[in-house]
Amino acid sequence: MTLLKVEHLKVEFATVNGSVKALDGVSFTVDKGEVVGIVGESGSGKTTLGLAILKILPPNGRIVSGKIVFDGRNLVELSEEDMTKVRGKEISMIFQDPMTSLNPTMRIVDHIAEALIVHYGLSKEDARSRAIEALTAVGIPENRALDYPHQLSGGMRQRVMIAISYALKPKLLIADEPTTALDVIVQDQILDLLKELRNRQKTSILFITHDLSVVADIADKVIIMYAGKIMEIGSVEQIYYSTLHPYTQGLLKSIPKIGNSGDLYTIPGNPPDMLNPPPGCRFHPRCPFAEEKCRKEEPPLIEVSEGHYVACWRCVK
Amino acid sequence: MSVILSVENLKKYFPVEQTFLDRLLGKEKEYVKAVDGISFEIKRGETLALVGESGCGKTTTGRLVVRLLEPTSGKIVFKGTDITFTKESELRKWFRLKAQIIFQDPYASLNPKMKIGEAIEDPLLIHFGDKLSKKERKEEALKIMSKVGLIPPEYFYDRYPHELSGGQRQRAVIARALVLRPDFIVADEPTSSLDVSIRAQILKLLQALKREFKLTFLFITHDLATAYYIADRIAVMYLGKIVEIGDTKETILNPMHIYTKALFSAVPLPDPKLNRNRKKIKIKSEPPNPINIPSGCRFHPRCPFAEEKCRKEEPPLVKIGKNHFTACWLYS
Repeated sequence: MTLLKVEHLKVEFATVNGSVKALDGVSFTVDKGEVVGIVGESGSGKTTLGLAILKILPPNGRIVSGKIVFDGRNLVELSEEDMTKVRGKEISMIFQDPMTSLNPTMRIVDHIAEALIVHYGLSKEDARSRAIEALTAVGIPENRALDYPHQLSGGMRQRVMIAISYALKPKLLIADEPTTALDVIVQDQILDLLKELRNRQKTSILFITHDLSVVADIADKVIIMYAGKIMEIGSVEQIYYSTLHPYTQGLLKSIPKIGNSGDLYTIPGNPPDMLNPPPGCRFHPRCPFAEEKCRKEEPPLIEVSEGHYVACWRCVK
Repeated sequence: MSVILSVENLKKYFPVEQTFLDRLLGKEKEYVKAVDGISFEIKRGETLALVGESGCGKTTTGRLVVRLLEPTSGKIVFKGTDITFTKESELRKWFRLKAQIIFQDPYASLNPKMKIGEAIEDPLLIHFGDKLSKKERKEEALKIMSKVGLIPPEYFYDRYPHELSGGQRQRAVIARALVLRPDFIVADEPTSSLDVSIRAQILKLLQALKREFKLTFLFITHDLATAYYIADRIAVMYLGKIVEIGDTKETILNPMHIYTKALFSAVPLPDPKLNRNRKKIKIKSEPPNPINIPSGCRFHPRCPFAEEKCRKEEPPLVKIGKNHFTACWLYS
């Protein structure tokens, strides 16, 4: 069952040097209970995508066109007042640095309790006890509930953010690089918590990251983004074992792998300047297979086998 | 192969700042034991990777061996000379020419008001002053810039750091480290802030430069796959101690210390099936506070196999295979 359907989404940022098309016609779906990994490098638009879905873009950014259909409603057309009811309760978001989302003067239990009071109208006592339940569920013992955010480690803070999702039971959680700042053992713990959240509450997760290994561990479906465009969509198996797009292939070949001492492939060049993205396929200046057509015409995102989409002229028969 | 760097029982304790009240009450001074008695050697032409979680002391170790920090105790011998407590003025005469360090964030290591070319030739000015003419310095800078892939060097010479991409900035930092033709380089997470597609470029560049300039590396990273790719040997640190050290392949594919096993099994692999099917050693808690280091084996409070002995006595680093050492009571 489709929970979120993004159609032809375009987002622009106004900058002093001109407008940047951060997202240039992005379409995909997220099913109920599905973990979708959004993979891309800096400037690919992956973070913008998360912010656009919640309509919390910075002041110079705006949704130009497209639809974000969530649970039957087009969020693009929703008023700010209605969006407030969606945020937190139906769609939550966690960020790389939990300190940007936690109030330093508020006890951790109250972050969760307050959200429960606002969204569900619970009494203060009920909200607190539900909040403590949620904290216990993510592995924070009751005796730490009255701590302030600065008293916790980075991993514990991220647990608090996830506890908010345990308590509010949103249908969709957008996680933007939630483990990037964490050490591997703590990262593993947080990934386990997110998997458990999905299994227990059927929460769909949009997992935004640059890390192809983390995505291979947590995602059911993977979306590869480059310069504001989707290059490839597929199940995690399709993306890792039947890779089609030269960019995805390049990324997978350029990461060092334990147990493989062969030479690394390098994608030549740098990601494009988003003020002047290249014409045709955006990846063509770095693509080893680029032909005349790639330089001129933009390849459409087509379905080559069930659930496997790719935007590359080589795959158009 | 001759030993280029040897470290013996090296320690660095940082005092914890006391409040006025603490001092009034005569509270005992506390220390963060960042590096607490480590020993290792690096042979000429070798790359030793130092891995571990944040707070394990790997960065402090890197800074100690190039003497950006003064050790609390222990011994650092570089090319046969004891440099443990050598004065900066003495270090400048020869050591600073031979040992260099590269940091994670190239933007923070470049002066934003200095042109890239000037930054790269600055070490020549500092060390050789008037012995080299401005023209000679520029020639040297341009030469090294083309070696690190800042091509055409004449173009990059006049650029400012903000005009460069992350990868190009890291290349500039590498060029600056190499312009004095050092023998030994400490690379502290040099690829961690870079995009995936750029990371591979920089790793390959470092490998190529290592061959061309016969460099020796201490490569500090939290990423085991990067260590597997770049290092000949690997040392795993935990709370200021080396818990396991050995040849990279042997150690990563066949880890012995429970901490190393747990650390390695927490690393996600870029392969969905392997991730699903492998056995993991899970650790529940987070690293303890480095001010109050646990007794006995430092890892025992988190170790699923800890016994009475582990709580009381600290395990020594013992040989368990060719070039493979671990500090765990299970193997002693």
